[in-house]
Amino acid sequence: MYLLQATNNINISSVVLLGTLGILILVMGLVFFIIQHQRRVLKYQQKLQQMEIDQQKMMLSASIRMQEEERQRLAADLHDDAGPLLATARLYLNENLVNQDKASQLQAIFQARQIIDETIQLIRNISHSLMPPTLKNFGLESAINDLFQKISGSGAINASSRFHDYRERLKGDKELIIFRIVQELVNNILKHSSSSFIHLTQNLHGDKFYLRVHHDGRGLVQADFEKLNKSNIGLGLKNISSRLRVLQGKIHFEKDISQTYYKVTIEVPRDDPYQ
Amino acid sequence: MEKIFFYIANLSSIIPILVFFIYYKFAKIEKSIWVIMFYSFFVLLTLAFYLLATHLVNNYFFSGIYLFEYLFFSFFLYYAITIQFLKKIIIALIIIITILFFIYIGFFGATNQYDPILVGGKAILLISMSVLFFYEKMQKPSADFIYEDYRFWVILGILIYISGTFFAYIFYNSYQSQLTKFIPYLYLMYTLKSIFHAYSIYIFKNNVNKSINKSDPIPFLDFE
Repeated sequence: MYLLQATNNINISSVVLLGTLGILILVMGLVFFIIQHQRRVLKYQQKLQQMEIDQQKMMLSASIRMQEEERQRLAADLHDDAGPLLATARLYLNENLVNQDKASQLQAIFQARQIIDETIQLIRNISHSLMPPTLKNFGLESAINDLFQKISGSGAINASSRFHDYRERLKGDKELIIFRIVQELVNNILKHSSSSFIHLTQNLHGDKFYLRVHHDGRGLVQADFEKLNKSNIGLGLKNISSRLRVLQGKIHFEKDISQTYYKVTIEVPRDDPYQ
Repeated sequence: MEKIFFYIANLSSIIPILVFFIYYKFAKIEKSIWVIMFYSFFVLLTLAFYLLATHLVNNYFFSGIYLFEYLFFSFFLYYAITIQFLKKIIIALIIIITILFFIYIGFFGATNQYDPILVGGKAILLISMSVLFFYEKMQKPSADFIYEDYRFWVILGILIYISGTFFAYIFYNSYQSQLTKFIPYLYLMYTLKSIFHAYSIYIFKNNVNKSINKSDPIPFLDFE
Protein backbone atom coordinates (compact mmCIF):
# COMPACT_ATOMS: atom_id res chain seq x y z
CA MET A 1 0.00 0.00 0.00
CA TYR A 2 2.82 2.35 0.97
CA LEU A 3 4.63 1.39 -2.20
CA LEU A 4 1.60 2.26 -4.33
CA GLN A 5 1.27 5.61 -2.59
CA ALA A 6 4.93 6.27 -3.10
CA THR A 7 4.58 5.34 -6.80
CA ASN A 8 1.84 7.91 -7.20
CA ASN A 9 3.99 10.62 -5.69
CA ILE A 10 7.20 10.04 -7.61
CA ASN A 11 7.90 10.62 -11.27
CA ILE A 12 6.93 7.59 -13.39
CA SER A 13 9.93 8.20 -15.64
CA SER A 14 12.23 7.49 -12.71
CA VAL A 15 10.30 4.28 -11.94
CA VAL A 16 10.62 3.11 -15.52
CA LEU A 17 14.26 4.11 -15.69
CA LEU A 18 15.18 2.46 -12.41
CA GLY A 19 13.11 -0.64 -13.18
CA THR A 20 14.67 -1.00 -16.62
CA LEU A 21 18.15 -0.47 -15.26
CA GLY A 22 17.44 -2.98 -12.52
CA ILE A 23 16.20 -5.67 -14.89
CA LEU A 24 19.05 -5.01 -17.32
CA ILE A 25 21.59 -5.29 -14.51
CA LEU A 26 19.92 -8.53 -13.40
CA VAL A 27 20.05 -10.00 -16.90
CA MET A 28 23.63 -8.87 -17.46
CA GLY A 29 24.56 -10.18 -14.03
CA LEU A 30 23.09 -13.55 -14.90
CA VAL A 31 24.99 -13.67 -18.20
CA PHE A 32 28.20 -12.55 -16.48
CA PHE A 33 27.74 -15.17 -13.76
CA ILE A 34 27.26 -17.92 -16.36
CA ILE A 35 30.34 -16.84 -18.31
CA GLN A 36 32.41 -16.76 -15.12
CA HIS A 37 31.04 -20.12 -14.01
CA GLN A 38 31.88 -21.67 -17.37
CA ARG A 39 35.38 -20.17 -17.27
CA ARG A 40 35.93 -21.67 -13.86
CA VAL A 41 34.64 -25.08 -14.99
CA LEU A 42 36.86 -24.97 -18.09
CA LYS A 43 39.89 -23.96 -16.04
CA TYR A 44 39.21 -26.82 -13.64
CA GLN A 45 38.82 -29.26 -16.54
CA GLN A 46 42.08 -28.07 -18.07
CA LYS A 47 43.81 -28.52 -14.72
CA LEU A 48 42.43 -32.05 -14.45
CA GLN A 49 43.53 -32.86 -17.99
CA GLN A 50 47.01 -31.53 -17.27
CA MET A 51 47.20 -33.64 -14.12
CA GLU A 52 46.14 -36.70 -16.07
CA ILE A 53 48.75 -36.00 -18.76
CA ASP A 54 51.42 -35.56 -16.07
CA GLN A 55 50.42 -38.80 -14.43
CA GLN A 56 50.47 -40.64 -17.74
CA LYS A 57 53.94 -39.25 -18.44
CA MET A 58 55.10 -40.36 -15.02
CA MET A 59 53.66 -43.84 -15.59
CA LEU A 60 55.25 -44.09 -18.99
CA SER A 61 58.64 -43.13 -17.64
CA ALA A 62 58.14 -45.56 -14.75
CA SER A 63 57.33 -48.40 -17.12
CA ILE A 64 60.34 -47.53 -19.31
CA ARG A 65 62.55 -47.46 -16.23
CA MET A 66 61.10 -50.78 -15.12
CA GLN A 67 61.78 -52.27 -18.53
CA GLU A 68 65.34 -50.97 -18.46
CA GLU A 69 65.87 -52.39 -14.98
CA GLU A 70 64.50 -55.75 -16.16
CA ARG A 71 66.87 -55.70 -19.14
CA GLN A 72 69.78 -54.82 -16.89
CA ARG A 73 68.86 -57.70 -14.58
CA LEU A 74 68.70 -60.08 -17.54
CA ALA A 75 72.01 -58.79 -18.88
CA ALA A 76 73.58 -59.20 -15.44
CA ASP A 77 72.21 -62.74 -15.10
CA LEU A 78 73.55 -63.70 -18.50
CA HIS A 79 76.87 -61.91 -18.06
CA ASP A 80 77.60 -62.89 -14.46
CA ASP A 81 76.15 -66.41 -14.37
CA ALA A 82 75.81 -67.90 -17.84
CA GLY A 83 78.98 -66.26 -19.21
CA PRO A 84 81.44 -67.65 -16.60
CA LEU A 85 79.76 -71.07 -16.69
CA LEU A 86 80.16 -71.34 -20.45
CA ALA A 87 83.73 -69.99 -20.23
CA THR A 88 84.53 -72.68 -17.65
CA ALA A 89 83.00 -75.37 -19.87
CA ARG A 90 85.14 -74.09 -22.74
CA LEU A 91 88.25 -74.41 -20.53
CA TYR A 92 87.46 -78.06 -19.88
CA LEU A 93 87.02 -78.65 -23.60
CA ASN A 94 90.28 -77.01 -24.77
CA GLU A 95 92.61 -78.27 -27.52
CA ASN A 96 94.88 -80.08 -25.04
CA LEU A 97 92.08 -82.45 -24.19
CA VAL A 98 93.08 -84.77 -27.09
CA ASN A 99 96.61 -85.08 -25.67
CA GLN A 100 95.39 -86.15 -22.24
CA ASP A 101 94.75 -89.69 -21.08
CA LYS A 102 91.31 -91.21 -21.40
CA ALA A 103 90.39 -90.92 -17.70
CA SER A 104 91.22 -87.19 -17.70
CA GLN A 105 89.30 -86.75 -20.95
CA LEU A 106 86.24 -88.43 -19.46
CA GLN A 107 86.59 -86.37 -16.30
CA ALA A 108 86.82 -83.13 -18.32
CA ILE A 109 83.85 -84.06 -20.51
CA PHE A 110 81.82 -84.97 -17.43
CA GLN A 111 82.67 -81.64 -15.77
CA ALA A 112 81.87 -79.70 -18.95
CA ARG A 113 78.56 -81.52 -19.28
CA GLN A 114 77.69 -80.70 -15.70
CA ILE A 115 78.47 -77.04 -16.30
CA ILE A 116 76.43 -77.00 -19.51
CA ASP A 117 73.49 -78.60 -17.65
CA GLU A 118 73.81 -75.91 -15.02
CA THR A 119 73.81 -73.24 -17.73
CA ILE A 120 70.74 -74.77 -19.34
CA GLN A 121 68.98 -74.68 -15.97
CA LEU A 122 70.05 -71.10 -15.46
CA ILE A 123 68.76 -69.99 -18.87
CA ARG A 124 65.53 -71.88 -18.20
CA ASN A 125 65.15 -69.98 -14.91
CA ILE A 126 65.70 -66.68 -16.69
CA SER A 127 63.16 -67.64 -19.32
CA HIS A 128 60.68 -68.71 -16.63
CA SER A 129 61.09 -65.38 -14.90
CA LEU A 130 60.04 -63.73 -18.17
CA MET A 131 57.05 -65.99 -18.75
CA PRO A 132 56.24 -68.53 -16.05
CA PRO A 133 55.52 -71.87 -17.76
CA THR A 134 52.80 -72.70 -15.23
CA LEU A 135 50.96 -69.57 -16.23
CA LYS A 136 51.27 -70.33 -19.92
CA ASN A 137 50.29 -73.99 -19.64
CA PHE A 138 47.91 -74.16 -16.70
CA GLY A 139 46.63 -70.62 -16.23
CA LEU A 140 46.51 -67.89 -13.63
CA GLU A 141 45.09 -70.04 -10.83
CA SER A 142 47.93 -72.57 -11.00
CA ALA A 143 50.58 -69.87 -11.46
CA ILE A 144 49.40 -67.93 -8.42
CA ASN A 145 49.01 -71.08 -6.33
CA ASP A 146 52.51 -72.07 -7.40
CA LEU A 147 53.90 -68.64 -6.48
CA PHE A 148 52.24 -68.71 -3.08
CA GLN A 149 53.40 -72.27 -2.38
CA LYS A 150 56.98 -71.24 -3.15
CA ILE A 151 56.71 -68.25 -0.82
CA SER A 152 55.18 -70.39 1.89
CA GLY A 153 57.81 -73.05 1.29
CA SER A 154 60.57 -70.59 2.13
CA GLY A 155 59.22 -70.60 5.71
CA ALA A 156 59.51 -66.82 6.05
CA ILE A 157 55.80 -66.13 5.73
CA ASN A 158 52.55 -68.02 5.57
CA ALA A 159 51.10 -67.58 2.06
CA SER A 160 47.91 -69.11 0.72
CA SER A 161 45.58 -68.52 -2.22
CA ARG A 162 42.08 -69.62 -3.07
CA PHE A 163 40.23 -69.26 -6.37
CA HIS A 164 36.48 -69.50 -5.88
CA ASP A 165 35.28 -69.25 -9.45
CA TYR A 166 37.77 -69.55 -12.25
CA ARG A 167 36.26 -72.12 -14.58
CA GLU A 168 36.81 -69.99 -17.66
CA ARG A 169 40.33 -68.72 -18.08
CA LEU A 170 40.95 -65.11 -19.00
CA LYS A 171 42.89 -64.34 -22.14
CA GLY A 172 46.61 -65.15 -22.00
CA ASP A 173 47.86 -61.55 -22.08
CA LYS A 174 45.32 -60.55 -19.43
CA GLU A 175 46.41 -63.43 -17.18
CA LEU A 176 50.05 -62.41 -17.55
CA ILE A 177 49.33 -58.78 -16.62
CA ILE A 178 47.28 -59.84 -13.58
CA PHE A 179 50.01 -62.25 -12.57
CA ARG A 180 52.61 -59.46 -12.79
CA ILE A 181 50.43 -57.21 -10.67
CA VAL A 182 50.05 -59.95 -8.03
CA GLN A 183 53.81 -60.56 -8.16
CA GLU A 184 54.46 -56.85 -7.62
CA LEU A 185 51.97 -56.66 -4.75
CA VAL A 186 53.36 -59.76 -3.06
CA ASN A 187 56.88 -58.46 -3.59
CA ASN A 188 55.96 -55.17 -1.92
CA ILE A 189 54.31 -56.99 0.99
CA LEU A 190 57.39 -59.18 1.46
CA LYS A 191 59.74 -56.20 1.25
CA HIS A 192 57.93 -53.55 3.28
CA SER A 193 55.09 -54.95 5.38
CA SER A 194 56.73 -57.37 7.84
CA SER A 195 53.48 -59.31 7.84
CA SER A 196 53.09 -62.84 9.10
CA PHE A 197 50.71 -63.98 6.37
CA ILE A 198 49.43 -63.20 2.88
CA HIS A 199 46.16 -64.58 1.66
CA LEU A 200 44.75 -64.19 -1.82
CA THR A 201 41.16 -64.85 -2.83
CA GLN A 202 39.53 -64.72 -6.24
CA ASN A 203 35.92 -64.39 -7.26
CA LEU A 204 33.63 -63.26 -10.05
CA HIS A 205 30.75 -60.84 -9.77
CA GLY A 206 28.70 -59.79 -12.78
CA ASP A 207 31.09 -59.02 -15.58
CA LYS A 208 33.99 -58.35 -13.24
CA PHE A 209 36.89 -60.48 -12.09
CA TYR A 210 38.10 -59.78 -8.55
CA LEU A 211 41.27 -60.61 -6.69
CA ARG A 212 41.86 -59.64 -3.09
CA VAL A 213 45.10 -59.85 -1.15
CA HIS A 214 45.04 -59.71 2.65
CA HIS A 215 48.03 -59.26 4.90
CA ASP A 216 48.59 -58.27 8.52
CA GLY A 217 51.67 -56.11 8.25
CA ARG A 218 52.24 -52.43 7.48
CA GLY A 219 50.21 -51.46 4.46
CA LEU A 220 48.73 -48.74 2.33
CA VAL A 221 45.31 -47.19 2.13
CA GLN A 222 43.91 -45.62 -1.04
CA ALA A 223 45.10 -42.12 -0.14
CA ASP A 224 48.69 -43.38 0.31
CA PHE A 225 48.49 -45.19 -2.99
CA GLU A 226 47.23 -42.09 -4.83
CA LYS A 227 49.92 -39.97 -3.20
CA LEU A 228 52.72 -42.39 -4.09
CA ASN A 229 51.34 -42.73 -7.59
CA LYS A 230 51.62 -38.99 -8.12
CA SER A 231 55.05 -38.67 -6.55
CA ASN A 232 58.39 -39.56 -8.08
CA ILE A 233 58.85 -42.58 -5.83
CA GLY A 234 56.82 -45.82 -5.86
CA LEU A 235 57.94 -47.20 -9.21
CA GLY A 236 56.28 -50.57 -8.57
CA LEU A 237 52.95 -48.95 -7.74
CA LYS A 238 53.08 -46.85 -10.89
CA ASN A 239 53.75 -50.00 -12.80
CA ILE A 240 50.69 -51.62 -11.23
CA SER A 241 48.62 -48.59 -12.24
CA SER A 242 49.84 -48.62 -15.81
CA ARG A 243 49.22 -52.36 -16.11
CA LEU A 244 45.70 -51.90 -14.72
CA ARG A 245 45.10 -49.08 -17.16
CA VAL A 246 45.83 -51.52 -19.97
CA LEU A 247 43.24 -53.90 -18.51
CA GLN A 248 40.80 -51.04 -17.78
CA GLY A 249 40.80 -52.33 -14.25
CA LYS A 250 40.81 -50.74 -10.81
CA ILE A 251 42.72 -51.25 -7.59
CA HIS A 252 41.63 -50.36 -4.10
CA PHE A 253 43.81 -50.27 -1.01
CA GLU A 254 42.04 -50.27 2.35
CA LYS A 255 42.22 -51.34 5.93
CA ASP A 256 39.91 -54.02 7.26
CA ILE A 257 36.98 -52.88 9.46
CA SER A 258 38.67 -54.65 12.37
CA GLN A 259 41.75 -52.49 11.64
CA THR A 260 43.87 -55.65 11.79
CA TYR A 261 44.44 -56.41 8.15
CA TYR A 262 45.16 -54.53 4.99
CA LYS A 263 43.22 -55.42 1.88
CA VAL A 264 44.13 -54.81 -1.74
CA THR A 265 41.30 -55.43 -4.19
CA ILE A 266 41.84 -55.67 -7.92
CA GLU A 267 38.85 -55.36 -10.22
CA VAL A 268 39.21 -56.30 -13.86
CA PRO A 269 36.49 -56.61 -16.54
CA ARG A 270 35.96 -60.18 -17.69
CA ASP A 271 36.60 -61.16 -21.28
CA ASP A 272 33.75 -60.61 -23.67
CA PRO A 273 32.64 -64.13 -24.65
CA TYR A 274 31.70 -62.92 -28.14
CA GLN A 275 35.09 -61.39 -28.86
CA MET B 1 13.01 12.49 -34.64
CA GLU B 2 10.92 9.67 -33.19
CA LYS B 3 10.07 8.54 -36.73
CA ILE B 4 13.77 8.30 -37.62
CA PHE B 5 14.41 5.99 -34.64
CA PHE B 6 11.33 4.01 -35.62
CA TYR B 7 12.66 3.42 -39.15
CA ILE B 8 16.21 2.71 -37.95
CA ALA B 9 14.90 0.15 -35.45
CA ASN B 10 12.67 -1.65 -37.94
CA LEU B 11 15.10 -1.47 -40.83
CA SER B 12 17.89 -2.82 -38.60
CA SER B 13 16.28 -6.22 -39.20
CA ILE B 14 17.94 -6.06 -42.61
CA ILE B 15 21.38 -6.44 -40.97
CA PRO B 16 20.96 -10.13 -40.01
CA ILE B 17 19.51 -10.81 -43.48
CA LEU B 18 22.44 -9.08 -45.14
CA VAL B 19 24.99 -10.94 -43.03
CA PHE B 20 23.19 -14.18 -43.83
CA PHE B 21 23.37 -13.55 -47.59
CA ILE B 22 27.01 -12.41 -47.44
CA TYR B 23 27.97 -15.72 -45.83
CA TYR B 24 25.30 -17.73 -47.57
CA LYS B 25 27.53 -20.73 -48.38
CA PHE B 26 27.20 -22.41 -45.01
CA ALA B 27 27.73 -26.17 -45.07
CA LYS B 28 24.51 -26.76 -43.16
CA ILE B 29 22.21 -24.05 -41.95
CA GLU B 30 20.65 -24.94 -38.64
CA LYS B 31 16.94 -24.55 -38.06
CA SER B 32 17.48 -21.92 -35.37
CA ILE B 33 19.24 -19.71 -37.94
CA TRP B 34 16.23 -20.06 -40.23
CA VAL B 35 14.00 -18.94 -37.34
CA ILE B 36 16.08 -15.76 -36.98
CA MET B 37 15.88 -15.20 -40.73
CA PHE B 38 12.09 -15.64 -40.78
CA TYR B 39 11.79 -13.34 -37.80
CA SER B 40 13.82 -10.61 -39.54
CA PHE B 41 11.68 -10.97 -42.67
CA PHE B 42 8.58 -10.83 -40.51
CA VAL B 43 9.71 -7.52 -38.98
CA LEU B 44 10.33 -6.07 -42.44
CA LEU B 45 6.95 -7.31 -43.61
CA THR B 46 5.17 -5.70 -40.68
CA LEU B 47 7.01 -2.46 -41.43
CA ALA B 48 5.93 -2.67 -45.05
CA PHE B 49 2.36 -3.38 -43.97
CA TYR B 50 2.51 -0.48 -41.53
CA LEU B 51 3.68 1.89 -44.27
CA LEU B 52 1.57 0.63 -47.15
CA ALA B 53 -1.66 -0.15 -45.34
CA THR B 54 -1.67 2.39 -42.53
CA HIS B 55 -5.46 2.52 -42.49
CA LEU B 56 -5.54 -1.19 -41.58
CA VAL B 57 -3.13 -0.87 -38.68
CA ASN B 58 -4.95 -1.18 -35.36
CA ASN B 59 -4.42 -2.64 -31.90
CA TYR B 60 -5.08 -6.18 -33.20
CA PHE B 61 -2.12 -5.73 -35.55
CA PHE B 62 0.18 -4.88 -32.61
CA SER B 63 -1.22 -7.71 -30.49
CA GLY B 64 -0.54 -10.06 -33.40
CA ILE B 65 3.05 -8.82 -33.55
CA TYR B 66 3.51 -9.66 -29.86
CA LEU B 67 2.20 -13.16 -30.41
CA PHE B 68 4.42 -13.75 -33.45
CA GLU B 69 7.48 -12.35 -31.66
CA TYR B 70 6.78 -14.71 -28.80
CA LEU B 71 6.35 -17.63 -31.21
CA PHE B 72 9.55 -16.86 -33.16
CA PHE B 73 11.68 -16.52 -30.05
CA SER B 74 10.11 -19.61 -28.49
CA PHE B 75 10.82 -21.67 -31.60
CA PHE B 76 14.37 -20.37 -31.59
CA LEU B 77 14.77 -21.50 -27.98
CA TYR B 78 13.14 -24.81 -28.84
CA TYR B 79 15.86 -25.48 -31.43
CA ALA B 80 18.62 -24.00 -29.26
CA ILE B 81 17.88 -26.22 -26.26
CA THR B 82 18.78 -29.91 -26.51
CA ILE B 83 17.34 -31.33 -23.27
CA GLN B 84 14.14 -33.10 -24.30
CA PHE B 85 12.27 -32.28 -21.11
CA LEU B 86 12.89 -28.55 -21.58
CA LYS B 87 11.87 -28.78 -25.23
CA LYS B 88 8.58 -30.32 -24.17
CA ILE B 89 8.02 -27.47 -21.70
CA ILE B 90 8.61 -24.91 -24.46
CA ILE B 91 6.18 -26.63 -26.84
CA ALA B 92 3.57 -26.88 -24.10
CA LEU B 93 4.00 -23.17 -23.36
CA ILE B 94 3.70 -22.28 -27.05
CA ILE B 95 0.38 -24.14 -27.27
CA ILE B 96 -0.99 -22.82 -23.97
CA ILE B 97 0.02 -19.20 -24.62
CA THR B 98 -1.40 -19.22 -28.15
CA ILE B 99 -4.75 -20.53 -26.87
CA LEU B 100 -4.76 -18.04 -23.98
CA PHE B 101 -3.92 -15.23 -26.39
CA PHE B 102 -6.97 -15.95 -28.54
CA ILE B 103 -9.18 -16.35 -25.48
CA TYR B 104 -7.90 -13.03 -24.10
CA ILE B 105 -8.35 -11.20 -27.40
CA GLY B 106 -11.76 -12.85 -27.86
CA PHE B 107 -13.01 -11.75 -24.45
CA PHE B 108 -11.40 -8.33 -23.96
CA GLY B 109 -10.44 -7.33 -27.50
CA ALA B 110 -7.23 -5.52 -28.40
CA THR B 111 -7.69 -2.39 -26.32
CA ASN B 112 -4.18 -0.93 -26.34
CA GLN B 113 -1.15 -0.74 -28.63
CA TYR B 114 1.07 -1.72 -25.68
CA ASP B 115 -1.19 -4.09 -23.77
CA PRO B 116 0.57 -4.58 -20.40
CA ILE B 117 -0.74 -8.14 -20.03
CA LEU B 118 0.47 -9.24 -23.44
CA VAL B 119 3.78 -7.37 -23.24
CA GLY B 120 4.45 -8.40 -19.64
CA GLY B 121 3.44 -12.03 -20.19
CA LYS B 122 5.59 -12.30 -23.30
CA ALA B 123 8.60 -10.74 -21.55
CA ILE B 124 8.40 -12.89 -18.42
CA LEU B 125 7.98 -16.10 -20.42
CA LEU B 126 10.83 -15.35 -22.80
CA ILE B 127 13.19 -14.33 -20.00
CA SER B 128 12.32 -17.57 -18.15
CA MET B 129 12.91 -19.64 -21.28
CA SER B 130 16.22 -17.90 -21.90
CA VAL B 131 17.24 -18.84 -18.38
CA LEU B 132 16.46 -22.46 -19.36
CA PHE B 133 19.01 -22.16 -22.15
CA PHE B 134 21.65 -20.91 -19.71
CA TYR B 135 20.65 -23.63 -17.28
CA GLU B 136 21.30 -26.22 -19.97
CA LYS B 137 24.64 -24.62 -20.79
CA MET B 138 25.65 -24.94 -17.15
CA GLN B 139 24.49 -28.56 -17.02
CA LYS B 140 26.47 -29.56 -20.10
CA PRO B 141 29.89 -28.01 -19.86
CA SER B 142 31.68 -27.92 -23.21
CA ALA B 143 35.23 -27.15 -24.28
CA ASP B 144 34.13 -23.91 -25.98
CA PHE B 145 33.20 -20.73 -24.20
CA ILE B 146 29.54 -19.82 -24.16
CA TYR B 147 30.14 -16.64 -26.20
CA GLU B 148 31.63 -18.77 -28.99
CA ASP B 149 28.16 -20.21 -29.47
CA TYR B 150 25.99 -18.22 -31.91
CA ARG B 151 22.85 -19.02 -29.91
CA PHE B 152 24.24 -17.13 -26.95
CA TRP B 153 24.28 -13.89 -28.97
CA VAL B 154 20.72 -14.40 -30.24
CA ILE B 155 19.47 -14.98 -26.71
CA LEU B 156 21.48 -12.06 -25.37
CA GLY B 157 19.83 -9.89 -28.04
CA ILE B 158 16.39 -11.15 -27.04
CA LEU B 159 17.12 -10.59 -23.34
CA ILE B 160 18.42 -7.05 -23.84
CA TYR B 161 15.46 -6.15 -26.03
CA ILE B 162 12.85 -7.62 -23.69
CA SER B 163 14.32 -6.53 -20.39
CA GLY B 164 15.17 -3.07 -21.75
CA THR B 165 11.64 -2.42 -22.95
CA PHE B 166 9.68 -4.29 -20.29
CA PHE B 167 8.90 -1.46 -17.84
CA ALA B 168 8.40 1.20 -20.49
CA TYR B 169 5.86 -0.92 -22.41
CA ILE B 170 4.00 -1.89 -19.24
CA PHE B 171 3.52 1.70 -18.09
CA TYR B 172 3.22 3.26 -21.54
CA ASN B 173 -0.58 3.29 -21.83
CA SER B 174 -1.11 4.74 -18.37
CA TYR B 175 1.63 7.38 -18.51
CA GLN B 176 1.96 7.99 -22.23
CA SER B 177 2.77 11.71 -21.94
CA GLN B 178 5.58 11.15 -19.46
CA LEU B 179 7.09 8.15 -21.24
CA THR B 180 7.20 9.49 -24.80
CA LYS B 181 10.80 10.56 -24.23
CA PHE B 182 11.66 6.89 -23.75
CA ILE B 183 10.54 5.91 -27.24
CA PRO B 184 13.95 6.48 -28.93
CA TYR B 185 15.55 4.46 -26.18
CA LEU B 186 13.10 1.58 -26.83
CA TYR B 187 14.00 1.68 -30.52
CA LEU B 188 17.65 1.57 -29.53
CA MET B 189 17.02 -1.70 -27.68
CA TYR B 190 15.27 -3.03 -30.76
CA THR B 191 18.26 -2.06 -32.93
CA LEU B 192 20.69 -3.64 -30.49
CA LYS B 193 18.75 -6.88 -30.74
CA SER B 194 19.12 -6.88 -34.54
CA ILE B 195 22.85 -6.18 -34.26
CA PHE B 196 23.28 -9.09 -31.85
CA HIS B 197 21.31 -11.35 -34.20
CA ALA B 198 23.51 -10.32 -37.11
CA TYR B 199 26.62 -10.99 -35.02
CA SER B 200 25.26 -14.43 -34.09
CA ILE B 201 25.00 -15.31 -37.80
CA TYR B 202 28.60 -14.20 -38.26
CA ILE B 203 29.65 -16.40 -35.31
CA PHE B 204 27.67 -19.29 -36.79
CA LYS B 205 29.53 -18.93 -40.07
CA ASN B 206 32.86 -18.92 -38.20
CA ASN B 207 31.93 -22.04 -36.25
CA VAL B 208 30.93 -23.83 -39.46
CA ASN B 209 34.31 -22.92 -40.99
CA LYS B 210 36.12 -24.12 -37.87
CA SER B 211 34.34 -27.48 -37.93
CA ILE B 212 35.15 -27.88 -41.64
CA ASN B 213 38.84 -27.20 -40.95
CA LYS B 214 38.76 -29.60 -37.99
CA SER B 215 37.46 -32.47 -40.13
CA ASP B 216 40.15 -32.03 -42.79
CA PRO B 217 41.78 -35.41 -43.33
CA ILE B 218 45.55 -35.89 -42.96
CA PRO B 219 46.55 -36.74 -46.53
CA PHE B 220 49.39 -39.15 -45.77
CA LEU B 221 47.13 -41.25 -43.55
CA ASP B 222 44.54 -41.72 -46.26
CA PHE B 223 44.40 -44.73 -48.51
CA GLU B 224 44.54 -44.09 -52.21
